[in-house]
Amino acid sequence: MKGILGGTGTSSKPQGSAISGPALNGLGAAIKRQVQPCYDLGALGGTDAMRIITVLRLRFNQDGSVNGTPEMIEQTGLTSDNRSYARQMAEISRRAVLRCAPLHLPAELYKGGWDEIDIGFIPAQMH
Amino acid sequence: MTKSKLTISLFAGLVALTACSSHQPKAASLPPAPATKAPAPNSNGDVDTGAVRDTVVLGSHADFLRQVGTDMVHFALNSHDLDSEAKAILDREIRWLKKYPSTRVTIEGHCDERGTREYNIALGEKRADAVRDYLVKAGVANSVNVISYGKERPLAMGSDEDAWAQNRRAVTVTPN
Amino acid sequence: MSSVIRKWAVTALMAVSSTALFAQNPAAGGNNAAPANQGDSRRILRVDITGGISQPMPIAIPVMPTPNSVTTLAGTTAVLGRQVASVISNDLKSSGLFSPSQQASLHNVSFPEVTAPQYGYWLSSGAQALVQGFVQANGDGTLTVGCYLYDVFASQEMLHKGFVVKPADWRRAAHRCADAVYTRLTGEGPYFDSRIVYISETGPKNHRLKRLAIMDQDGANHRFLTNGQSMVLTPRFAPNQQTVTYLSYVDNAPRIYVYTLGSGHVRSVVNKPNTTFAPRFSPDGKTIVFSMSVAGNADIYKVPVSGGQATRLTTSPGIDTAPSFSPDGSKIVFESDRSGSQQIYVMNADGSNQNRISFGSGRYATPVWSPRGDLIAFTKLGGGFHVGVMKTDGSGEQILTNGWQDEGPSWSPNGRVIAFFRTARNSGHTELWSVDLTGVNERHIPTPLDGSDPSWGPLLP
Repeated sequence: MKGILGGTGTSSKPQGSAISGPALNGLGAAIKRQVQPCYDLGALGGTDAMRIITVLRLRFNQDGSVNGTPEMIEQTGLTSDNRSYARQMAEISRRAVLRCAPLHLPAELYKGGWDEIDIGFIPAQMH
Repeated sequence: MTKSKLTISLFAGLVALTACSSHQPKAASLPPAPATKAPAPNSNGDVDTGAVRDTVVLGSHADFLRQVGTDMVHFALNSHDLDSEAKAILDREIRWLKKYPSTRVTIEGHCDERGTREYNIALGEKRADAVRDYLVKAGVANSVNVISYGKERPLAMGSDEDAWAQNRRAVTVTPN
Repeated sequence: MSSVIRKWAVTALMAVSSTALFAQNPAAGGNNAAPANQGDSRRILRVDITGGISQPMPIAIPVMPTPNSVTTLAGTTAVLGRQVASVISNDLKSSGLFSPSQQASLHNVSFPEVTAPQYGYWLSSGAQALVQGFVQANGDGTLTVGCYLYDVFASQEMLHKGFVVKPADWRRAAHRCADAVYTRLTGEGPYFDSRIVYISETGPKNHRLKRLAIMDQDGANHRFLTNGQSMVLTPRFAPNQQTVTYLSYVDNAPRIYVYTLGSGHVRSVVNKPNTTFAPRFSPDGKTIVFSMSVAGNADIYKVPVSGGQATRLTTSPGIDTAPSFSPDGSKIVFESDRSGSQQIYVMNADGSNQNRISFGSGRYATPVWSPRGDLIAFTKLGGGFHVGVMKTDGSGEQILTNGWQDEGPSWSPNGRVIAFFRTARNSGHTELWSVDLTGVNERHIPTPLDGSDPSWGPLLP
């Protein structure tokens, strides 16, 4: 893979590098704006669950709908006081994406941009 | 029979009413009531009560009220200390109790509503016990029982300083 | 934003990566979808959502169908299907964490549909979660209540359970279903299938009739246990729920007693000529800890429930009262005014190592240890009475209520909700209320007359 990246000529450009920094920033802001209103902590608001950070990996179809099942790739901030909320926090994160889908994002940034993204759900700032 | 019974109880009620109305419980901070308002006992402990006199059975609670002037003492907030006014009242109670040493006495301790239930039961007991202690140390031979009602039996119904002052009390109960 | 993440990373004590909480998603065919952590050929965009909203969750609980309507001792199974759904809805709503749809507005669920929900319909109804179920009469006279929970957005079943009950106990099946749903969606322990014993009050402020009474947590199945001839106060459930210990003024002598729920049998606990009060069971149900006044001085004692010798635990000249065991039975929290004002203290169960833990402004009373062990609920006095919680070392104080006089906290079985009583200024009317740990969700617990001194029992077996 490294060879490809460092290679020359006709080999396909590595995905991701096709999109400029500013475009990525704009894309990130658009996703955040669309998903945030659906991130409803419900019963877990104000509990020790607020310290749990969940990261989901999502694949999207070109129409903005979610492709397949969101996968949880990381969960941090677990303590003995909030371990019982871990599953619920993951589900709340998944629900946020499913509720707000389909996302409305620029088609030209799909491939290598938002066809697959990680979303980190951080319930609260530190107390 | 029925008629005479009714008359007596009516008179007794009148005495109790009189005693009550001339001795509204006062805030502990107020000075003692003027002597003229109280049926102050004379040197031999008798009181001229006029026409009602004959209806009061000696040694009864009505008699106690007539002789002592009141059956309760009051306390400062969160306190079970007897102040000089309370002690003056208890001194009159002692005089009466020593005349009727076989009369059984119950001291009820009460609190105002500004404490939690459990604490007030304990505080009411402390107040009743302070009165019992004073009576016993003065040498009364009567059987003296104490009971705390905490904040469960207020005398005044309101939620203000005046009502609270009236409710912080210990009551000496003698048989009718 | 990244600085926030870094701070979190520092405070995170444990990290779990890639757990199988969701159905594993085999990389969808794409051989070119390289994982992000495998080199730099594909850097996956990471977006952080910081700070969420917190609203009651929209949930639909439609009428539960019956395969065929049968008349039972508690009514027809068709009517029960409507009532069970209502009880579940009321339980979830009372927690303040759910917003159930109006039952009448929902479409009629057919029996086969119970296990195959019409997700499209429920999605358009705005519900995020869906509770379906059925009520079926069995040949042996019992009922089966089926209980299914679905995630509407994920089109996925979250749980299914069945409860077999006598028709008369249909409400318990509903509470059990509500508990299962609540636990699955919130991560908290259950509490709806439980009872409250309390003091029913009526009459003028200076002459209140006070009776021991018991009811379900939602106010149903209410009954009086004593007739009011003697004043009764501060009832506390035994852990096994078969008995209640309380203070009674029977024979004009305030003493603690144990009442047996099935038989109505009452017996005295401490055979002493002293006032005993503020009783509470130990977590194993074998000991009662209480206060006794000797020569006016209230100290804390403990005594075997079966009777016998009382052991003195405190010796301060002040008022020591309102003791409550920690859930492991090793410690006792209590209040004492030995410092000059009511404050909260913790000691070992044998009375050793007495330490004050409350240091805020004002006075503190009636401490009660949470069944989870993490918090102590109390009444704070000063500018009225308010119910609050603190950690067991006295830190993290939070005041949860704001009535004129809110007093006498008692924990729900899951340690998430606190029942207490609220007294009105002047009139002296009392009501039972509950509040959750956020302090936001306060609700009135309905009682036929006035109510005080709630004691929330453990989850029913």
